[in-house]
Amino acid sequence: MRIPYFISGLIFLTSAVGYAQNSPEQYFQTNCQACHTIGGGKLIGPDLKDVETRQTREWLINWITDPASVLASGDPYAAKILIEANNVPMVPSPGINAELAARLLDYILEIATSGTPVVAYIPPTFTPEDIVIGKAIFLGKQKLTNTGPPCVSCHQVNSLSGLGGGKLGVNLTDVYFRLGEARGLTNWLKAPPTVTMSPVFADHPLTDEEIVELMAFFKNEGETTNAPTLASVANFILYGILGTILLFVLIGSIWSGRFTAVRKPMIAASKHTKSTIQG
Amino acid sequence: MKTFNFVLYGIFPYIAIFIFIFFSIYRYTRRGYSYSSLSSQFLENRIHFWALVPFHFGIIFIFLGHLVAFLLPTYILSWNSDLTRLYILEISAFMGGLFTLMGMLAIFIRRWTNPRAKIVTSRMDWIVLTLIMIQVLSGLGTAVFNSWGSSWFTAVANPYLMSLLRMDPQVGFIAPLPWMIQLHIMGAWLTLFLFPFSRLVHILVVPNPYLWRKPQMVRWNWNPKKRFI
Repeated sequence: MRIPYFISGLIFLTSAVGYAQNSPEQYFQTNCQACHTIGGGKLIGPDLKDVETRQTREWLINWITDPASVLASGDPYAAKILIEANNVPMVPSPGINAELAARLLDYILEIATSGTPVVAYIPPTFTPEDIVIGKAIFLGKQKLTNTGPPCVSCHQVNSLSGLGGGKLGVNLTDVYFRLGEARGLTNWLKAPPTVTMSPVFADHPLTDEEIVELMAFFKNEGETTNAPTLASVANFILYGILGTILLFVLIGSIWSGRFTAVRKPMIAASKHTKSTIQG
Repeated sequence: MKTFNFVLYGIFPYIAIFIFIFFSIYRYTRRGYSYSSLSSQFLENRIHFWALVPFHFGIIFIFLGHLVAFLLPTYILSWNSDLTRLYILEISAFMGGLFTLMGMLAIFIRRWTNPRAKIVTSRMDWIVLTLIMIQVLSGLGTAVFNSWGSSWFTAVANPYLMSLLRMDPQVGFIAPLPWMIQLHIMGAWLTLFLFPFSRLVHILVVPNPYLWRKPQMVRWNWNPKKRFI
C-alpha cells in the first residue's frame, strides 16, 4: 500500500516543483497580464500597482490561490472588485500555490517600485475587412496560423443562425465590451488565462493580426447584438430524433423478411389454410 | 485535487490499458472458448432484433467516429471548417448515439422482463450494460450541452491521448472540463479496465469473414424421409 502513496506524493512534488521553477515574471506574463497591469491602469481586473496598500498580503495570497472561496465567503472587497470587473470573476491560475503567490506579490512590488516606464497603449483601428476575416477565423473558414482550434468549436455568438456555435465555452457576443474592449481583450487573447483555454492555446498562440481581426468581429457582434436563443439546441435534438426514427424505419424495411420464429408462422399458416378450406 | 486528477487521468489509464492487454491475452490462451458474448437470440427473438441491431450499428459508428477523430484530427477540423458540414457531422453522430440508446433501452427491457433472457444475464453483463449506458447518456449530453465535440476533441482530447502515448500524461487538458465530459472519459477507461472480464471480449473475435465469405448451404447428408419410413 505504501508504493501508491509514494508514487502519488512524488508526482505531486514534482508537479509543484515544475510550476515553482517558472520565474514570477514569466508566470505573470502567461497568467496575470491578460487582466492586470502593474501601473498601466485598469484592464478587466484592477491595476496591481500599490495592491498591497489596498489589502493585506495574507488576504491577497488567499485571493490569488482560491478566488472562488473568498467570493463565496461573502468578502465585501472581493464582491466590490467583481462588480468593477463587469462581473468577470478572477480565475484560479494553473499550478498556483501560496508560495508562488507570495513570489508574484514580490515581483509586482519590485516592478511597481523600480519605476519601469509604462508603454502607452494605442488602440487598433478596425476596417470592414477585419470584421469579415475575423468572422472567417471565428468559424474556422480561415485557419489559425499556429493551428489553434477555431472559436466556433466551443463558442457561440448570437448572430449565428441554424444550429449555432459550440456550447462548451461561454457565449462571446458581448466579449469585446465585457473584457475591457480592445486593450483588455488583446491581452486576454494573447494568453487566454482560463484553465480550459490555457493548455489549448499555450502552444498555439494567436498572432497579433488575428487578434485584431477577431476583435473587430467581436466588437461588431457586441454592437449589433441579437437576443440569445435556445432554438439551436431544440433544433439539434429534433433533427437527431427525426434521423433516428428514419434509421429504425430503414432497418425494419431492410430486414422485413427476417427469420422470427418456427412454430408461430406454421400455426398461423395452418389456420389460414383451414379457414380457406372451410370458406 | 491535483493529485486526485493525476491518479484518475494520468495513472489509471495505464492500469486500465495494462489490465486490458494482459488479461485479454491471458483469458484467450487459458479459456479461449469463453471468448464469446453468448447469444440469447434462441431464447427470445422478437425484441432481440430491435435491441441488437440499433445498438451494434449505433455503437460501431460512434466508436469509429471517435477513432477517426483521434487518428485524423486535422482532417476533421478541415471538414468542420464549413458550418454545414460541421452540423451534418454532429447530427449524424447524435443520431448514432440516439440509435445506440434506443437499442440499449430495448436490451435492458428484454433482459429484465423476459425470464429466459434474464436467467442467462450475469452480474458482469449488468455492470457492463450500465457502464455503456452511462457512456451513451454522457456522450449524448455532451453533444447537446457541450458542443461541438467533433471540433474541440482535436484540441482537448487529442493532445491528452497523445500525451498518454508519450508517457507524459497532461491531465491539465481534462481536469477543467465539465463533469459530463469527465464522466465520459472516466467511463471509457473503466470500460477498458473491465473489458477482459466481461462479454466485451467478443469484440476481439468478431467473425469478420462472415461478411464476405460465400453463402453456405446446410443440408442433411442422409435422406431424412427414408429415416422415418
